[in-house]
Amino acid sequence: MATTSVLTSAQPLTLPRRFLAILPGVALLTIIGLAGKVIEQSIARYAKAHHLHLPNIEYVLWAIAIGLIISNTVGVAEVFKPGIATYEFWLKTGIVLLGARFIVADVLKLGGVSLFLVVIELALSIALMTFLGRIFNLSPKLTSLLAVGSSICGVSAIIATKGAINADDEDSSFAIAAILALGALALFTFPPIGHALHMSDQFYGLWAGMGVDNTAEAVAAGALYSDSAAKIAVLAKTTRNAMIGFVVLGYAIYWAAREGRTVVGSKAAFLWNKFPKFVLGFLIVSVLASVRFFSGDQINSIANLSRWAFLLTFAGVGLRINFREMKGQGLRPFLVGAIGEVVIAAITLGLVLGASRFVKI
Amino acid sequence: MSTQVETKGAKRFSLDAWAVVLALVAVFLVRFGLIKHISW
Repeated sequence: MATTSVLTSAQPLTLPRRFLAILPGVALLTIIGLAGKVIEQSIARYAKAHHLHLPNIEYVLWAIAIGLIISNTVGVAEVFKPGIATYEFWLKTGIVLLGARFIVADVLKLGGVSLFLVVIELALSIALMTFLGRIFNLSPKLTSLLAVGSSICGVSAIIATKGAINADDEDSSFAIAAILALGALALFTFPPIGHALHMSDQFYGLWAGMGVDNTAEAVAAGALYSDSAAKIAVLAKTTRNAMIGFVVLGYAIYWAAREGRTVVGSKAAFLWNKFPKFVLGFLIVSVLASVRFFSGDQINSIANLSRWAFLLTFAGVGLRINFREMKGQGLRPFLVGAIGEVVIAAITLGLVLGASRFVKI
Repeated sequence: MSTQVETKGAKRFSLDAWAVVLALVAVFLVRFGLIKHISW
């Protein structure tokens, strides 16, 4: 029996097994995403046929809402979970494909504006979260995780930092829950604020990319506004993501010095290890598009592939939101995150509105 | 036990890297006409 159990537990390591394990969840993501698209199109057709002026609610919101309802009512069965977890994979694939819609000159210009604003946002976010963590008496490592999560790229940054500073599982799950809960709130607050302020697609996208922490929610918050806003949100968020290695390295050095440990060996290797590779993929596709490697039709096809990848992502965003689990994570980390996020959203909004006076994008 | 060692010891591609590989494969399939048209 012992031998059998070892063999059985070894089975999931094989690629075909892992592929089979994700199929039900990916199918669920596809069905939810398609349902969102069908609902959007059906409402538009109905409104047109009956000469009604109904608000156009994008498939993004429907897909998120369906996922959210499933997750918080009947729940998600275990069999679907491995596949649902692939939503981040589809997000990154979609971002790489989206590179076809940017020429390098745009990336440099928008990326330059984003980078300038991101550096200011990073410094302010880290300082603010550290200050709030002290005021609310959170553990120093939880404070570091919240600071990294809110300043760079949410869950990925928290996971990367957790290993680098030897934080415990409880602290990282608190930080992840707070960042996810606040990302979910951003989906429902950013678009109305953007509309109320009559923000252009470009500057709203810049704000969503800078103000929403987790990449999936940042892209969704952009897509809820418009397709162009999603495009800019991806670029701004990608710029933020590219900074992950530097900030995690900074925290690793700080905590190693504080605990009397040896600092990581090669800093270059550390930076490369933490650098999000999909940013490179995005740049490669963007360079190919810039040298006219693709025809206009091919760029449209690649951009549509990107939309399909995002469709699966948005379904996953909704399925991942579980209010009961969030409630069980404790109030203080959530409060620190919430106060910090509101202030950071206000600061980034101010930065973006300020930039809109001086820069044309 | 041995399974755990095998899992940790194996050098695996990151999620990011797989996403880049899949996207680039799709891009080249479109570029060289193996995928003719993707509609939305």
